[in-house]
Amino acid sequence: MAQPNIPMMPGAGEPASALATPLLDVRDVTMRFAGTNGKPVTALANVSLHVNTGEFVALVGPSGCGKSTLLSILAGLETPTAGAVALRGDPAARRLGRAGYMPQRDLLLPWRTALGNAITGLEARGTPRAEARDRARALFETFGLDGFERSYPFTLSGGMRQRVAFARTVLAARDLLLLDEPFGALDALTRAGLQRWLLDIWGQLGATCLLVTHDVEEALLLADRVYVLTARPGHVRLEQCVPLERPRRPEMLARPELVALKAELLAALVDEVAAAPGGGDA
Amino acid sequence: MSETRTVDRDASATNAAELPAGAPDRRQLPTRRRSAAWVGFLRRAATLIVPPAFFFVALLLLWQWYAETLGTAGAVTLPPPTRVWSVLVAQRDILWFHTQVTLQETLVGFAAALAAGLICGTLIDFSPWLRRALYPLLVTSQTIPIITLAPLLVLWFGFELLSKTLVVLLVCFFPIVVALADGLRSADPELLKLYRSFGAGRLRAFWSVRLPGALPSLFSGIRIAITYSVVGAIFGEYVGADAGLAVYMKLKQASFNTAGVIAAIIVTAALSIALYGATALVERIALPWYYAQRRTGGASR
Amino acid sequence: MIPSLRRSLVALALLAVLVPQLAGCAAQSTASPPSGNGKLDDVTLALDWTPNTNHTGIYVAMAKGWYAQHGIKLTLLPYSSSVAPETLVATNKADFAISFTESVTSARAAGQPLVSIAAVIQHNTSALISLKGAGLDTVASLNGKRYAGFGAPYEQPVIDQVLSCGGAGNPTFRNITTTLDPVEALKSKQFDFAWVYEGWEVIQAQREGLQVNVFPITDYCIPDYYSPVIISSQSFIASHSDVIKRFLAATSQGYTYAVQHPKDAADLLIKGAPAGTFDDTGLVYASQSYLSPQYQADAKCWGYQLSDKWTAYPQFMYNHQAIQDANGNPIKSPPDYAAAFTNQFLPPCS
Repeated sequence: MAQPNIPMMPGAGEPASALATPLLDVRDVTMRFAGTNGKPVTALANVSLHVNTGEFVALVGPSGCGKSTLLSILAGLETPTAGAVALRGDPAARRLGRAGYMPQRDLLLPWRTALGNAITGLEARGTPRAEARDRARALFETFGLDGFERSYPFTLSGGMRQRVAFARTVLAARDLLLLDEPFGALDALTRAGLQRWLLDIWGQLGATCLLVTHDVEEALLLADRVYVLTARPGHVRLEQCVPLERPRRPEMLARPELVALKAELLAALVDEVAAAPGGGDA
Repeated sequence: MSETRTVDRDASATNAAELPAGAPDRRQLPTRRRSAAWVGFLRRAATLIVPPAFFFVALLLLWQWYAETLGTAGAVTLPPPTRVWSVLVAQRDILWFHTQVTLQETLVGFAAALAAGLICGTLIDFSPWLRRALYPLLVTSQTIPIITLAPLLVLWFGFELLSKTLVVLLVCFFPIVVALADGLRSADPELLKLYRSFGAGRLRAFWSVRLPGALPSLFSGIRIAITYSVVGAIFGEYVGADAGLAVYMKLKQASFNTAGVIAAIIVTAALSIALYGATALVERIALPWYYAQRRTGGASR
Repeated sequence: MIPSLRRSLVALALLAVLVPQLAGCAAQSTASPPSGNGKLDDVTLALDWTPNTNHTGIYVAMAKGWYAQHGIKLTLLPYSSSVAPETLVATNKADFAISFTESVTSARAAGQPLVSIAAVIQHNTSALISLKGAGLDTVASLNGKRYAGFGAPYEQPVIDQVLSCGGAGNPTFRNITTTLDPVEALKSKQFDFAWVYEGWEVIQAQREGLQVNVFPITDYCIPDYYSPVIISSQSFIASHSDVIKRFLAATSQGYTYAVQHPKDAADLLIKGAPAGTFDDTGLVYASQSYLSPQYQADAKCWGYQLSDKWTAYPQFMYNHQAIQDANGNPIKSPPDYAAAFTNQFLPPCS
């Protein structure tokens, strides 16, 4: 496999160091807003976590625990009611436009080709179109999408569209990637394929990733560290490192220490699911 | 008919290296499939055309039979289709001349309505205050009967192209504005959120996401507007014009030539249908993704 | 069977059943007087316009009860811009109508069997008018100008003739068809001249303080003709000649009265017309005093028609291809001028 000619993300290739300033430091973030029937809802209560440069962190939690709200805050789309989010150590840094945000639905624009969709983030920032297209084309090769640059989204399968969306996310990102259950809407087979694909790509990109998922196995397969969030009001219940070396393979999940870790995470999760108030939206 | 072009390579290939190097260009269907595609197309066209054509021919026969039973007294109330056809043929040059005049008024008025509608619809979308202020006015403008308004327009602006253009504008403007405003309003909030996360401003979000997404709705409004546009032009001509299909109709009416009036009505209808068809064609060309998406059952969720 | 085909056949069957029923209803004439309705014969007359001083004699006869005296119950059908009174008579939806020489000639050529049974006014009172002070004070100056027309095929040849008679070398004008009132059209300055009746619009303009130039068309090489006239259809004439005689007897009485008592007649017109018809009753009185002498003018009795007036103008129309057949083509041979009118139903004239 040829070395892809893609610009590495800031901090890529550096070993994740616990002593270095985390890329993203979330301290005591609380989020309250008016609920549907007027009563105030606390989505997040004193959430504290951090993501180091070059790390892959997974957030697992029951539905309705505020995972997506947290991602919105981290992406700069919303401001927390209380607490601070520091980007590269600066709590006042403007986060909007710095993270690559990938929501669950691919949200590809049906009137643009795959390549055109991939460059939307860059275009929005003002990057000249020719340069954006070149960068996207290089990435398409890496992502196994070459040949499909001129295809419209409706001709692509679900898995391919997620890959295009991912390319868009990567191109638009400056500091880190925020992935909100990116494979949740796909069938199991496609999901498995994409997980393997993501492992591989992440290895090449060296990006900092924060993945939100409800699938413990996915978290264990992909991430370096896993946080488990409680039900609403969400806060961190558990933090564990994943003792697997890279490059990873799905068979590694059969190791005894992984089995134990998975059981522990699942127990915590099931506990939270039972405690969740009827299960709302994430 | 095999038209599915969805390609799923995920099950077999997980990264670029595993994709077969000589993957066939899926655009080239085998010849047998291509002719099957044509047969399918013809069959679809037939099911679309045959029922209304059948009905139409039956109606013509009924009309002919009834008109003949009326005899000479019926010559002025309901001439038979054969008479109408002979007038159409005999007067085709004159009819074409008047049609061109009406067509010009229609197109100019419609273009003005489109421009004004786009501006107004965008303004309404940008400012909730303007929406609250303008919407009731727009609705009211539609309740004023054109019958009373058209003479005033001619008195104020004369009988040249301008007054007819204004009538067409008044008739066509409303559906376009409403369709555009609604189309803009119904943009996917998730999509807009994604664009915000790129750091995109309101203007870019409008230009890149909301406006293209509003095009299908805008086109529906345009199709409605264009159907009424010819009638609007005719209204305007009736009040004051030196040429046009309405003038022709009046002349035929004054000479008790009902077959001529009906011929002009047929031409008017044909003009409206042609304009509608042209609009549908433009829509097909401008929004290929919208139609293909609908036809393949909407592969995107 | 394909569902859409089945649906089409069912709809067709429904049509085939319903249409003859409707045809049956429509074919019944509304004009046949039921003989069992007391002693009065029901007849209808379609007006050519909103009530005006052309119609005074009829309103007088109605108010004075002269129709009832002659065993006639008259219903007036109001003017509708979508249906010509000539068409109503030709299709037996009305027994009589107010019409004009041009319309009768055109209608007969298009195959409608209409006959003029009385002349309301003995001489043509049409005129072209223009506003004074706009450089349009002679007929010749109207050449090339904007004309507010009403969409009749004879306007072109008549105005061309008037223009050339008035000294215009190459007569031409912008013929704009409009539904606007002629005086309004002139006031708006969008039009330069219009075709009106001296007995109405000219007086109306003068009362509004407008200075107008009046060019009666018969002064400019247009043959004199009757306008308006009362018409009926050939079929009605064939079947109801007695009714027509009695109708005209009463109507003649009404117009004769109006000749002798203009102000009184105007009062009866105002009272008889639907409320709100006349904004300016002064216009009615002024128009009536102009028009009353014209009803009979130099004729022996009211309503009598002379054949030269029924020949000269239609011939002018024919010579200028202004008469079209049912297909819209100018007729190739001259129409039967004499068959267009009859005096046989008018009360005897001493």
